[in-house]
Amino acid sequence: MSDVTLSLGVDASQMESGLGRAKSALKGLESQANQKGIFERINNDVKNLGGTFSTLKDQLAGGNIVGALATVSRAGVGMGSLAPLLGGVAIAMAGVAVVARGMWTAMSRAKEMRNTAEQSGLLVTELMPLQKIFGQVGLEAEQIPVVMTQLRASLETLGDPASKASKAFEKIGLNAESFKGKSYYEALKLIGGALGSAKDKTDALNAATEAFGAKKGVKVGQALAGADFGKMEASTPESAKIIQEQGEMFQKFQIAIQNLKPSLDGLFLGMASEIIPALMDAAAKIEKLDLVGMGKSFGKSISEGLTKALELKERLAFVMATPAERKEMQAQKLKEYEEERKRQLIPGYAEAQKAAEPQLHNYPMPSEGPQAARGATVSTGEAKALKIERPESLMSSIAKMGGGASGMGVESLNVQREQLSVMQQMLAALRASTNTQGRASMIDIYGNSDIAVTA
Amino acid sequence: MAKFISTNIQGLETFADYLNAIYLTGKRSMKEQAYTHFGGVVRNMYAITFPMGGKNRSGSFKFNKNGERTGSVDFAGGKKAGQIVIARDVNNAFMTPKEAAVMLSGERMRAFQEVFKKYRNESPEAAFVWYLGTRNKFKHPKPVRRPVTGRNKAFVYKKLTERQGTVAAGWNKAGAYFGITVPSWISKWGSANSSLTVQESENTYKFVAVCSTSHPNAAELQADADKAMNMQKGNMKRILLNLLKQQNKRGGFVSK
Repeated sequence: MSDVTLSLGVDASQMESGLGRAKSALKGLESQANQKGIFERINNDVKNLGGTFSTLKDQLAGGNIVGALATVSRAGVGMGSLAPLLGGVAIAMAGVAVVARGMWTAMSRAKEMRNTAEQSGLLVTELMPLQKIFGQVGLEAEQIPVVMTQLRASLETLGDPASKASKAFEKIGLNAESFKGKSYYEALKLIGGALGSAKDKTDALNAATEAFGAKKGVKVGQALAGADFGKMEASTPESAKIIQEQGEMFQKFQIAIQNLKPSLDGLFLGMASEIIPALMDAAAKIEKLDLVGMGKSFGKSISEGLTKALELKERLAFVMATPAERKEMQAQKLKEYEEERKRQLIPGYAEAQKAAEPQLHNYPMPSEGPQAARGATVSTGEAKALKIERPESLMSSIAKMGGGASGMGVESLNVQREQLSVMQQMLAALRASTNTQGRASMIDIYGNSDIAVTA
Repeated sequence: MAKFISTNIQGLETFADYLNAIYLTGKRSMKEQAYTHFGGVVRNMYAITFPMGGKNRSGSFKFNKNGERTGSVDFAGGKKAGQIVIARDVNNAFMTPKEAAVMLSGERMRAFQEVFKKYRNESPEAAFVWYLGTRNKFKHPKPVRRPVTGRNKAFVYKKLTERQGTVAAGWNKAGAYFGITVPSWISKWGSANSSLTVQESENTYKFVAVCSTSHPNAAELQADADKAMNMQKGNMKRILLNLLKQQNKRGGFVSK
């Protein structure tokens, strides 16, 4: 007898634990973001966020990824807790994605609110004070459409003097004529006023029951009778107007970026193929959206932040491309550069090219030769940051950080070249940072002071 | 305008590279990925192990309607191919008087008849034992076929076909562990010649499957273990590309 042996094994302890921690941190982050109420934050702190993201944009533009991380942390979206766990760029990506997710949540709520308003026959600016008024007697916003449907049914019967509703309303001094030419919201105000001033409380309750139904009539009547509409309207947030005006745009935006799904499951290939394309898509669409209602600076900064993400994506694509594809990409960039130069230098050239499709982005690819350097439209500092180096310490650090699976028998552990290249891109970007905190973070992240020193 | 994104996979060489890449790109845990793809290697081993494997030892797999190879092992095809090989080998080893009457004449026929006298009353079991002891000598170079009665030749063929599946059964323990269903002509041999060691900690998964066999070509099978891993790497590459394409599609990109 002879033995045929098949031996296989994998040790994913480091990778599993790293990703596990990252996932749980992100989960906590998401929960934090929800608890803190991103919606309110966006509405109330547009100015602050706008300022923050302007800084972020500048830092990203300057290649100061770690500095940008610190900015994101300061913005209060909790990215600081992730900093020791993940690579810098990944956190920056996640930061943008989380904020985008906050926007998504906000717009989801806005969409819900607009739907509720539409179902109730009200404007959002009318719905918000009503929510507060109803909330005082424990009625939830979802019940408003039901109450309004009942009110519409009651008002329709007012034309018939023999109807129960007519009789009940008459006792509090209201009739079909009183509601003529009034919106539902104004009708509610009228009923509230009449209920509040009714001398006979039984009549008031009867009228409320007829108007709003047997189940909720009493509560709604109580709420309306004691309501100060003027005060509630005055305290209606500006966001109500924005939602009313931008509701459709939010809906379109949601459909447009429904694929925006931050996923840290695949930090390397996943990041390149899922997060970034999604962000790219969002970036392209955000540029076309009118986010004035959400705060011009905020929307613009997000858009520009995502554009920066697009650059990174292109860089990653370059790293992952075959030599032939790289040549093609470089040639394309060179062509674009020449076009750009012609536009700048030849008077009237730009006008002549107006018919040509405008380019969304124009940025350099990582350089491996003089061609790409000529094609670059960035500062020397940035071009320097793109230079790829392959220090041994980096390899050992990455192997230590993301050890991963190891083959048994004839196969042994090899650090994936693609992952390595991606990490090198990240490190190249990190090296551009002169931020002290950045260096400290790099030591935290890579556990190797050599890399930090070379930064 | 559709945006294109490259889904080239470069730099992935080893089985571990592919496993890592799939794990990082997909949503499943390393344990699930390891279980799936190690199981795939065992399935490939079934497809390569005798009587499966085919003429070029490239594995016996089923094909779909489009003529594309699927991941399912073609056990029935393997068995049939094995039977053809057995029939050929038995024919190479034995010649019955009926065959001799057609193929031989003159001096050669007389020589055959002379030798046949020796085996005329041979028991079927004796013919079978002789075959097992000498069968490898009949392959290269092609020998002179030994006289045998037609009944005994049929007995040897039947005995050999009944023994089909004994080598493949050497993977039965690993097959059962990874939920691979095998036909009864393999499963009936149980797992006496099969062993499996599984070491599993929180994030470490290791298994060693041993197939014990007396097959004369066991050395070929040991070399086939690498082939099975390479096949699975091919499968993993396809999965990886599909994952990337799906993700690109979700991101609004067209893969190229």
